[in-house]
Amino acid sequence: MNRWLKAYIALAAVFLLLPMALVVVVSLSSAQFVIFPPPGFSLKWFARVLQDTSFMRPLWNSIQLGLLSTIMAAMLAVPAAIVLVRRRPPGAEAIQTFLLSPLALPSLVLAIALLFFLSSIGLGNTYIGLLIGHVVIVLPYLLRTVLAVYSASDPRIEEAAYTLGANPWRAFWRVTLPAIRPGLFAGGMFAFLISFDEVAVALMLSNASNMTLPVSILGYLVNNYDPAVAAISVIKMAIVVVVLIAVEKFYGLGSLTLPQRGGTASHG
Amino acid sequence: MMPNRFRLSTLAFLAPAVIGLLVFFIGPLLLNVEVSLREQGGGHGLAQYLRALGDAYYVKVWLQTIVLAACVTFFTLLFGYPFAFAIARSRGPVKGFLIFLIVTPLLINVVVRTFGWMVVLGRSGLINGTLRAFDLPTINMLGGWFAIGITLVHVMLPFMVLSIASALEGIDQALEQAALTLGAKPAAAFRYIIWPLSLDGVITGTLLVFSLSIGSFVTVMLMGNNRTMVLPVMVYQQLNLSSDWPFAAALGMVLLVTVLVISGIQLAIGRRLRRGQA
Amino acid sequence: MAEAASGLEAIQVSKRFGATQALGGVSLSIQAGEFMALLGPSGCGKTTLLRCIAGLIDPDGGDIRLGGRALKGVQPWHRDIGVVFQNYALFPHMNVAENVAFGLKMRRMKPAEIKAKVERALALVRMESFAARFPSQLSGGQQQRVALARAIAIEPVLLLLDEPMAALDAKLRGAMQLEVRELQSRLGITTVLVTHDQDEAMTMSDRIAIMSEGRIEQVAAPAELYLKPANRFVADFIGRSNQIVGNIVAAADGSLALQPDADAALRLPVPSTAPRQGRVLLMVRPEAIEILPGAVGVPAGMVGVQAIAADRIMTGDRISLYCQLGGLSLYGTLPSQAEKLAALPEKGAPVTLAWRESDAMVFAA
Repeated sequence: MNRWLKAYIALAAVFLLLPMALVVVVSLSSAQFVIFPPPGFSLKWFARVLQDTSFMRPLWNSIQLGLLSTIMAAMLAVPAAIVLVRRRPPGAEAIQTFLLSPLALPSLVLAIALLFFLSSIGLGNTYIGLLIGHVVIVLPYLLRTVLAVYSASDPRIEEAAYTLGANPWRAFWRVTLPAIRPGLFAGGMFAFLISFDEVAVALMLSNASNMTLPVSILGYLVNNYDPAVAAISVIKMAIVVVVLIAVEKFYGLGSLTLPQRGGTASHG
Repeated sequence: MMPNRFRLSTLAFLAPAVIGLLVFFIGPLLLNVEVSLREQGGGHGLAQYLRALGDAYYVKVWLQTIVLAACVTFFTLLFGYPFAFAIARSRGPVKGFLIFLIVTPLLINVVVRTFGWMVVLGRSGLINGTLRAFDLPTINMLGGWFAIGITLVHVMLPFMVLSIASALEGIDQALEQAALTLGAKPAAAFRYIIWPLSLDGVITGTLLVFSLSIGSFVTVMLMGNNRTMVLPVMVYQQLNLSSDWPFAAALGMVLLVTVLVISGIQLAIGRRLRRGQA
Repeated sequence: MAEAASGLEAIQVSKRFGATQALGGVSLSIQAGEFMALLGPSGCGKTTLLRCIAGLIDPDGGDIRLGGRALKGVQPWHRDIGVVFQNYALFPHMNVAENVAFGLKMRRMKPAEIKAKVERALALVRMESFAARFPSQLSGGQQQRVALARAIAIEPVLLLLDEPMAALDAKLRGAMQLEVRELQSRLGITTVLVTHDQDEAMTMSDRIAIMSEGRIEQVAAPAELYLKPANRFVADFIGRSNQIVGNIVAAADGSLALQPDADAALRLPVPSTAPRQGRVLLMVRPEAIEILPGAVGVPAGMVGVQAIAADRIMTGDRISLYCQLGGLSLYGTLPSQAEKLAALPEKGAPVTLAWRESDAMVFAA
């Protein structure tokens, strides 16, 4: 890397990290408002936020929703991926494109379409409806990871298992699944983060009692501008970091670094 | 090859995912089309679309949406390419650090990142706080295209960088070295070898960033004012404030079709570019 | 079509990558028009030296002179050195003609001139009819020809070939080796070939520089390298040989012999050039060993041993017979001819192995 590129990277690093760093600084502010520089530091905003059910309930809702939608999406995606990768049925290419297609849609359009649809079948503003919405959002991400990991695993390990006397089920449970488990785990963590961060669908489909954290932060921010938002944001970042460390530990961050169409949902 | 009897389960394995998406993805989209065609009398027609396209205000909002997304895409490409280049050229811990730099923002919620930029740009934020400390006049940078633009570039940069980096990583370094030994100066080697070979990543990145930014509404909602209206925010308002479902559905369809058409145009231009270079 | 060919001089070139000394002060002199191979195992520094010559790596120390001109500080794009890269490094987004024209375009030649030179270069490698193809539409051998045409189209004063045949299958490799060699001598262009394939180096080069661990072990013509290796490394690296490690001992009559580690009861004859004492390595090339059925005694003018025939191994053009003597195994080879095969002793039969004293090599171990 030459000098100019190094200087540019330094500037870019500041640009990329500055807003997040400031959120952390503001969360520790002792002021009543977002003021820079903060007059002093305190943990009072964390204390306030941790006692505030209008943040804590959505936080639990988000965690629950993320876990449930990931598990449900995995139950749909893993069998589909197995068939698509190893058996290549006629039309596999088209089916794969179809299953990944929700990624191509602006998530707000998907959100309003889901709102109309779920309302028309009586699931508007229900928890089930919200869960269905997030499974639709999360499924393509999970499927993509599982497809990639499963394609990369050597089919000969299954063939070796057959020659050693394993039937297809045993070969899958004993050989294939352990081989792809780290990838599945990383994909699941990633899917959880997508759901945990999703705004558009959650904004359209949730109600006051099952509201998710991003929606509640958004709602708060529309009407208020104080360090409480910073504090809850830091708590949210901390959860993301913990999940990331888990992914890194089990599989390496490399699995998340080069999404072809990543993050549609997280962006809203 | 699997034993034959096991193939019978192919359908059973695929069905849940396929049926699930048919019902809860294609179903809603079709219903959205139907809703957008509803007319006040109870019949169906193009009234909502005519209303949107016939009003100069809505057309202006539509154009603003496209221009905003195009500008964000352009600046992400401009700022993202050198970063991607640095990732592709670095090794070991430096590479790890650069990837960390670019991936971390990706995993922080867009609401939080927008808030972060409000702290940077706001009246009592970092920049104005610094200006005040030196007794300089403060500038209000929130509530306008500048704040929206800078935040969206921040939000979109990782997508662009990762797309381009994966293309650059795929270019054999020997190609550049071959160009150098053939008499190409580094700038010429970039222009004739690296740039054309990275076009795939550039196309992927611009498509991705364009379609993500044209659909973004959180940032504009939080940072915009009444002049900075874009289509997604309008869809949201029609739904939540006016409860005008058919109109919201029609605007959503306009957004969707715009994304698809412009993506198609970008793809075609990309193909032409690649052929032209070849 | 090359300009007046230039000689290349490397003087004490050194390069270090972190903890590894890739080149430890290498000096090498290549005459104008000469075909020189850099041969050695992977990691010996041959590719590093080639890249220093091309200007893709800056050496830490030393000097490289091309046609009397010092190359230090000269950028690769100003060196006029043609390089054929491993895997060819053809530009995938350009067709064959555009690939070959690239270097000429960079030299801002007129389109008509470029066209003529591209045609000439493609004709030299017999690829004229492929001008409009893209690299992905060519076979490995064709890609190699294009890479060669691209390198010589700029009429370089020096041609560098970096493992150019590694990606070709064995038959094609042999044909391309002869073809490239023929082209090189026709153009009279000074050429440096980097390879780990000794057959390739021997087939193509005037002289070979054997490299190991960042140093040059020996520079010599192929025959001399094979028959008169300068040291143990070269003797071991080039060709195949029986290798016996042991101590020099004096027999009762005062003559010297080798006591192999593998069987201390044995005594093997050593040439008179061997050291008077200490540990040595005795090497005898298998084709230098004459295989005589039965315990017939060593012919006059030769030295040898009695052994028991063991396995025979057929490797196409020759056959190897492995023999046991005590705890030691020796083998000799013969051309694969039916009558020779028929005359070979059966497994378990006694056999006499004999060789000329001058064919045995002894190195300190």
